[in-house]
Amino acid sequence: MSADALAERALVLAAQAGDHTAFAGLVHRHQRRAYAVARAIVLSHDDAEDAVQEGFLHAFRALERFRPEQAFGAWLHRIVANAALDIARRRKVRDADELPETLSSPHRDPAVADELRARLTSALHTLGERQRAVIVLHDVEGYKHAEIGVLLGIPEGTARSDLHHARAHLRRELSNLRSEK
Amino acid sequence: MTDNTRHDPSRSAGADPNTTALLRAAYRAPTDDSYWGGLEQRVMQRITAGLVHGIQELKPAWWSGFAEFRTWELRTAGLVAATIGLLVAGSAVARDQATDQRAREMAARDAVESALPLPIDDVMLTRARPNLPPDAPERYLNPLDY
Repeated sequence: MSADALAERALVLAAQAGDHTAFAGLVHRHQRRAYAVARAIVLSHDDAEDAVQEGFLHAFRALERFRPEQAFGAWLHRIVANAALDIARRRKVRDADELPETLSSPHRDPAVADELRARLTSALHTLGERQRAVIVLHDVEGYKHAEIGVLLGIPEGTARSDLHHARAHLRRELSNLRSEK
Repeated sequence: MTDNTRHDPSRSAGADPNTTALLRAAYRAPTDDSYWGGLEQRVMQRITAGLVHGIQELKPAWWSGFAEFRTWELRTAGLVAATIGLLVAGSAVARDQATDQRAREMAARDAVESALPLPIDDVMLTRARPNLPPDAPERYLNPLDY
């Protein structure tokens, strides 16, 4: 076991014994990845932050049931994903202006980039909630199909087919604009 | 601290690089460390608030002890005890049925015996037999032949 894993295990055991500082250490370690998982599922930053807070609260309450030989990160991310799915279900309709203002464009022409961003936003809204989460978790966050399946509570094959459909959908939506330009 | 993303370009084979770049930009987490420090504080505040709320919710009640029955060992012990109880109850029922059956047989036998004439005295029968002629059984069976 690596030094990092040992340190994490020590934090988990201390947190299970009631040490809040140790749990704060776990929050510090995992909040960025928890945010990334939540953000893949909900569209807005605010909802992602809510999901992270909910997820950590649930994890804290369920901490005594966690077995230290498991991977804490995987366990926590599953909880955060559930919290995010819950929030996403409660807030189906979203505004389109949730994308960050400081979007860095990979394209030379800012006009095309803006148009692409708007089209992407629109395309993401037309994607199903699950397909959107799958493509972001896979292509942006680097999760494998099986891991996505565990996070979202779907079979691996479903994650694979969702990814295929989501990519095709986004490609179709964005390629029209590129060909127009 | 864990990385913000574990993105590996080889994992997104088949993805449109432009779309992926746009998605990454759109879903980029805040990079400001002060944001993460603040989030950590908010999470811990929420947990502390949840604890205070939770303590009020979780006052022990007389039925709290039943929660222990959820543990595996106690469930197993309960199952074993229930099985033994069932076996004891089953054997008691079987014993009662056997006793009833015996009583019914005795009652039936008494009824039959009370309806029949009294049996011949065994002693008299034994005493009379030596004086019978040798063909006595034949005569008894076919009296007209004699």
